[in-house]
Amino acid sequence: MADDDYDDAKRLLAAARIEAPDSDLASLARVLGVARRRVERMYEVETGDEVPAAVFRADQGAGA
Amino acid sequence: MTGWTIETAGAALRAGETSSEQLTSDALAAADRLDEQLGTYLLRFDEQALAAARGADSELAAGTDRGPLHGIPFGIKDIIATDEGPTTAQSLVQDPAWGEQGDGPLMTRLRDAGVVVTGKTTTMEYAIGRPDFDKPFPIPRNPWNPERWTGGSSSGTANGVASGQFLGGLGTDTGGSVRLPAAYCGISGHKQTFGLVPKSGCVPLGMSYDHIGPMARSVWDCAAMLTVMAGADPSDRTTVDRPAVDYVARLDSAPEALRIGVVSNQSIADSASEAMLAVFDDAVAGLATDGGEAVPFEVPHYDRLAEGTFLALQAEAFAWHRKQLQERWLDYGRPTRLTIVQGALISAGDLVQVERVRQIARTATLAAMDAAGVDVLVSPTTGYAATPFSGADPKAVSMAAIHTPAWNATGFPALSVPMGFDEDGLPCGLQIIGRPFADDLVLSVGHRYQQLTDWHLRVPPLHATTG
Repeated sequence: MADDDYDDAKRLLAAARIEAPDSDLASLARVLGVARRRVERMYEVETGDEVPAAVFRADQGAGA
Repeated sequence: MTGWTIETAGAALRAGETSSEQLTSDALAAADRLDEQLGTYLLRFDEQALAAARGADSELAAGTDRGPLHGIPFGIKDIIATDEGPTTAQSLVQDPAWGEQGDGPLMTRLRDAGVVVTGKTTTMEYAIGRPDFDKPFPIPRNPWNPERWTGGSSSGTANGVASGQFLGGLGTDTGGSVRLPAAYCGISGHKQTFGLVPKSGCVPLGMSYDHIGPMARSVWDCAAMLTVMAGADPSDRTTVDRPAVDYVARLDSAPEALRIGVVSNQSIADSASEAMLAVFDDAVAGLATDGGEAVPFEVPHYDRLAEGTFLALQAEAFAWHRKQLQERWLDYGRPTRLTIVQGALISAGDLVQVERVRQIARTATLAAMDAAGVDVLVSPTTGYAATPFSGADPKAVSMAAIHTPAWNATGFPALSVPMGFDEDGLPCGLQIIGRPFADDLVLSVGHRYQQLTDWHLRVPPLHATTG
């Protein structure tokens, strides 16, 4: 676990206004790298102009 | 409850060979004997269940038959609200007032179909994380070997059906939580097409990945349940208005010359035991008999679909839990809080990219299925059979849910049926996947397999009928 990962985990949780003990931050720091690699692989897929799977629909719930 | 399924119990009810009260009394007696050891229930509703059973008997005697589920004992995963009692989500954090809404539309449908609710079943906290020995809740154990896990998160429903404590029940599935415990416990479980069944009245995990699915011993039983469960409801915007289907009547609808795509992505071989792959090969060979054909099938972006499911469901779960995580961090179990909070580790833009990949992969998979001319896809449900609570092979633990989440991301229907046993005598699951809203075909293929085999009728060592 890199010190940077620990600091990043602490910063990300602080941004969400969550206080976690050091042991939890250390665990999150260990998975942060895994999450980042997963995210990077998402950008390896050619997605072009595709829209996200969840798309806002203005007509939803508007009745007939 | 010797060897009974919903189908055979219903036939016995109508033949006057048993009563709903007897079935329910037997179910509760089995729970008296097995629940403490197996950790099936969070809460039992003995009196309400017996009263409902007597009511079901009276109706049948008066000529009112509500269909295949009439008078059948059911367990309900405790993230789904019911009239009888509170919903805990197996968490110290969950507000008891949330469950006061009582039955949602799905429970109302099941109730109208005559089910007898015997109690609320165990899960992992908020249907995510791992078995947590530090919290004051039962640990669900596998009736094939209580030193092994049931799989999660619909753990109590799975081990309750497998052990004969009830005949059917509800689970929820966001990344595999119906299919995984179904496979580990040797029962059948169906994650239907996204949007087919309303989810209002269920504590959400990943809102765009969540499904509520039927769990029972046989595919016939799951089909009978889905027939009742399916249908749009205005309380759930994700439901889709489709014509009603009698899934039991469609159980023989699979084509004789079935063309089966065998998921052949490298990650299947990389993340399954030799024993699992051998059992799977036998199952595919069995399904492909009588004019069928099995062909290799590469699922486009398969690994990205699985990874994306976890990234996105954590983000969606984080959105729902953020306030409580701020205020009650230590009241969450450690596995749960550390899993959900990972949703805060990725950016909004990254989540959008996950959802773009999801769209691309879904479209590409459908196109590939059409190009290959396959009716369904098959894979092992899990790479390994049920893992032990301690001393588990880390690979078996980490790979437990590797083959199921792609189908939450695409929303395709996916069924798990028992396909045999590994070298330790633990059940293995066969996953059958279909195109959106081809739930009838998927169930039909599973039913055909269960006409050829009796794996789904095998009884574990810890069962209502043994000991």
